[in-house]
Amino acid sequence: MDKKLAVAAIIVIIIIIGGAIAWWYLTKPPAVQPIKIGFHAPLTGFAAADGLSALHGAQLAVQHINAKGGVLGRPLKLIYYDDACDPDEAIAIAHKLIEEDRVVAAISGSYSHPTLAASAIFNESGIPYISAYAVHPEITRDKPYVFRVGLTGVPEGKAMGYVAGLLNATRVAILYMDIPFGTTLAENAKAYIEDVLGGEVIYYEKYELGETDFSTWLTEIKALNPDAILAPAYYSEAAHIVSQAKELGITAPIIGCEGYDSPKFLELAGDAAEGTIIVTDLDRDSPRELVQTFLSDYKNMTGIEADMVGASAYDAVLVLAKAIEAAGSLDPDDIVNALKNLENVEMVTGTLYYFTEQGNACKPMVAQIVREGEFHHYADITDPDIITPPE
Amino acid sequence: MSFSIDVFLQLLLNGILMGVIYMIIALGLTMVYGLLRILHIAHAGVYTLGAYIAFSTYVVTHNIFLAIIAASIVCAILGVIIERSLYLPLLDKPAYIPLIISIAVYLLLAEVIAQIWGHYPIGFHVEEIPRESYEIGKVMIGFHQIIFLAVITGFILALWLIINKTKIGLASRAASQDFEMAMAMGENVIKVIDFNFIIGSILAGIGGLLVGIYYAKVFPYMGDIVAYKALVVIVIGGLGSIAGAIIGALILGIAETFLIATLGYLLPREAFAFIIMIILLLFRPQGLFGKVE
Repeated sequence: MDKKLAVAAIIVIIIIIGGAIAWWYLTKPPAVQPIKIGFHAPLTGFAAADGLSALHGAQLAVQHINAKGGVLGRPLKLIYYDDACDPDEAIAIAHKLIEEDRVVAAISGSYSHPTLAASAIFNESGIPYISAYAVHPEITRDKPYVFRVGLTGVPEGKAMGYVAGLLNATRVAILYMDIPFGTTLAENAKAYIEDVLGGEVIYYEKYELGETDFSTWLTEIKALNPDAILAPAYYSEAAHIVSQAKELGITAPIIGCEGYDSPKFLELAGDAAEGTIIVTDLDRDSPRELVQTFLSDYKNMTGIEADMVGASAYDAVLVLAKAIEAAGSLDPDDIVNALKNLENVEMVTGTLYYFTEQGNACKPMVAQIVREGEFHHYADITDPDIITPPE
Repeated sequence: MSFSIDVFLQLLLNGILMGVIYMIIALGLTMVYGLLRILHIAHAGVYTLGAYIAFSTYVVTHNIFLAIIAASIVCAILGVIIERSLYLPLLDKPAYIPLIISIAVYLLLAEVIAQIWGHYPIGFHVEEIPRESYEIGKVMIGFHQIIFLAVITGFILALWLIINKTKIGLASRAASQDFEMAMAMGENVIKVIDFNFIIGSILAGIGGLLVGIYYAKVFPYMGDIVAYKALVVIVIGGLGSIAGAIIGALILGIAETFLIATLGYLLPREAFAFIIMIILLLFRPQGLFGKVE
């Protein structure tokens, strides 16, 4: 008898609990489904530092947007994967984001080659895709669903030449990294100096990515005594260039690019970074509230200073959210049309004037100078002939 | 392109400094090869670990001498562990087996270092060694470069004294000339091998520390280039020859520097090194100081 009673009691308890769950489930208010945004960046491997900056920037943007009520009354949700800076990984991730996660749109916080690989998949699938800071020109070319908020090589190279002009440099040495990023910047800086400024490029040499000893090149440059040295590089090479130039007694100013725009550059180069001028799109001295909020919140969130990469990923999320809000729907074609019609959107990395026909951001640049171990405002670069990306 | 005498001297100095950097790894590599006929690629991992141990010790204690001692001890222990646990048990196996294991150990060490300290370069600035330069004639030399040259020169002199003037040095030379004979004569061969690994690994550790300070950074993959450059160096110098490693390193450093300066960037720096090696081997397959076996 006792056994039967126990069984009956258990059944009753199960029915009560089950009923309670069902009642709670049926009567709770309908959950607000988040809007899913895909994201990929290198979170392991040699590019992990940049990938993590990008992820943190994107997460901060999602946090800020959700704190203000989200988009179309729904919160954003970032779904992110590690692409290890590998194009094959990026392709697999693109398929996963589109087919399994069913994201509304996606953002690349990665370098050129993974972004280029993934951009083709997103474009074919008709899913809007925004590259935060990858520079390769083919990423956006003839892909109506692909956009880019970061700088492209041609305006950035011209801007380096423009900064040489601000310094009244007429005899210029150019030392560049032998990858498409370095070559594009060097070619356009050279053209600007020769054609627009009427100056002379007296030294034009390249080196391999990952080089650590620049003494041979710098010894030759020193002997030519140029007015300025333009050196498109990433932060690690850049730190070696400015340190070794100083050690060889070179006093000509060194003009760099957004590849220098990292706290790592300042850390590695130490005192030798002083006086280096770089072309970038993140103005840390900007009085704009958006910039200052971003800089302080980023530091609170991660414990380190923000860089251009983190700011660009923040902006990619911001611009996408603006476009979805303007479109008033989650339809990919409506979002793409809204992106195309965006005008004067305030971003951390300057105002997005508009997206060009090929989906590249037209926006101002800024020159920053290193003083007392920090980047500070040096000059604004707003000349349309420089900043408009070529189509 | 022709150079003025100032530029020539500056390039020569740059080339010598490059050569000395290659020398650090090449010396340990050639000592091990002379004795065991093993290409000790993992040596570059010992070098990287030495740089990181020194860096962390310096960050904690702000004492460069403690950093040198810590790097030396850790590297000496690691060197002997690699020798005793991996190389000695494999002495009767074909040469490619310890080579493959050695490469695997190098890659493993780099990845372990990356997991502990992170994948990206870390700035390594030492207060005792300010980055000031002196102008001698028209040639610029940095204080850190003077220290670097002085320490390595001192180390090589000490190595020469140990090998030529001490009993264990004599035993080491005997063993590297004829391993079986030395064993038959009752020499304590294990002790000699330990000795070679301890000296070579301390040199690698201090070398890692010095190169870290030289370029003001430590990086998990800082051993990559020196690992195969050192191979080129000991092949040029003659496998197993210490004098050959020193001369080979200087030749490679100077030749690379002048080839880049005269030809510009026709080929990556690394390709130059292998071209130099191939040309030399065509005319002298045993290397500059090697004996024909």
